[in-house]
Amino acid sequence: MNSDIMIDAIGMISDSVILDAKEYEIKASSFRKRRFIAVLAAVILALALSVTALAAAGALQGILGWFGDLWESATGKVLSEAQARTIMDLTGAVGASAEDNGITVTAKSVTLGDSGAVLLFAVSIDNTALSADAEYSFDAFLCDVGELPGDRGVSQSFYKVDTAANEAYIVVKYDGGLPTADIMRGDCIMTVQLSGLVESGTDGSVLREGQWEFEIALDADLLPASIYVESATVEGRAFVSDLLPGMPVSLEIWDISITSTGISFAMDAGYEGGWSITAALTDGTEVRTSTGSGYLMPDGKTYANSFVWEAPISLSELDYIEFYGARLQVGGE
Amino acid sequence: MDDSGIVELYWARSESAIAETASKYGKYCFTIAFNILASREDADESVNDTYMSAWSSMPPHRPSVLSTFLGKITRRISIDKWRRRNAGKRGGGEVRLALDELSETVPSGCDIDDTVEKAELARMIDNFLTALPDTERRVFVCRYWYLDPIASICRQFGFSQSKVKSMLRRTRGKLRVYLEKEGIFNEF
Repeated sequence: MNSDIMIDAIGMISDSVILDAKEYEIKASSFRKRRFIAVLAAVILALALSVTALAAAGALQGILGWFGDLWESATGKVLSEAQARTIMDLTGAVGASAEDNGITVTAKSVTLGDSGAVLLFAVSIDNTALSADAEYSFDAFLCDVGELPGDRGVSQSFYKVDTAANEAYIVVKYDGGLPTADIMRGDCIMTVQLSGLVESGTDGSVLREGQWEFEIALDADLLPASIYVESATVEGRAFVSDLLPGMPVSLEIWDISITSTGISFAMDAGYEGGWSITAALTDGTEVRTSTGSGYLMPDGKTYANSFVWEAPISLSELDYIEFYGARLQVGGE
Repeated sequence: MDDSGIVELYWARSESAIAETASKYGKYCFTIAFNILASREDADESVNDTYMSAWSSMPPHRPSVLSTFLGKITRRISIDKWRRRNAGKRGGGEVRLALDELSETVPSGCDIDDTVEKAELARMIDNFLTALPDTERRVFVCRYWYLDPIASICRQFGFSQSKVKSMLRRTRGKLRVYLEKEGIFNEF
């Protein structure tokens, strides 16, 4: 009886918490019809870029379209030209393929953030026409970067089926937090292991077994530039332990690094969690963080935090950062 | 069509409101219902009941987030249907498993205080969840709001079964301690 009361009460939790847990699935299904417009807008933007960028546009167009959907879902807007240029600057074409059990998986591109990477894979099945209505995912996936554990912050989302190319596109996201950025700066290799292909609309069982492995070089030149702020006083939430949500408090943060993919900063280890950080752009658009992580530094006193924006932003369009209502001005006033 | 357009159709008493809702959120609602009922026929019925309930409640309601407005209706209708179907029986599926797991959030020898309204308990759970790390919160919500099977959560987050189970067990333990501090339990 107690657990019946609990399950009913959980049914009444706030919309934002419910939405947040499934943001990728909802985006994938809700935005399919508008995807063509978003991709078209992204391609037009890509064509508007420089000749050098244009050469890469074909290979990178897929991920630009995916980020376009993500941005539209988060803000209701299409990517700006500066944003599209930023995403292309962060993205490198890969082009490596692996084949097993009649399924070919191709790593199309890798987009680097300072705390993770977004990889776009194309999947084709021998002698099988993929349905535009189907959604595909991998049954299991691991990403290894340096000595970091492979199951750290890895997620996937179905992007689309391109019936003309007879390929399904799946995005794998790796979010490793601050240490990853440090490792990535060493020009390292990411090993990606994918296995089993699952088709939606079934009972979740594997459509076809298979294993596809890739070694993808992470080019430190793709890492985003940053705006550095030495320290600031912002609004946070105190936690005497990780069990109790505390009252909002003002606290000092330092080593603040803002990039087009996220924000990182250090603070006293006595405070953690519950952050609400928004990047406000000059056109009034507000961008929230989608994921975040924190690490207790070796001194045992400092907590290093890293948060990722819902979609990459152009720093040239950034006006200010808001922490629970406290404003950190970074753009020109 | 965007959500505000669909809500306007309900307010205008246009029957295309249902078709637009089904087109945009049919799959979303079906997934929630199917997780709970584990029957395609029953899940379809729950989704249809959801559309009827939405039709009856708009107006006067004007939901700010249509997806969760519909999802909450589907979840409630489906759990009610599951309870009726399994009245007097132990039942099965994800709901039974979730109920068993959630029993760990109440200390043994205690009951939830009768005077605590479900809405008040929901507010406490909301506060608790908001303070959790993102991944822990999302995994908890997938399991106990969406009633997703563990295997599906593993696939979404790329975690092993043991990792998801231990993460959920830790979160349930934290929730029990949090609710004890809020004083919502009575010893019997």
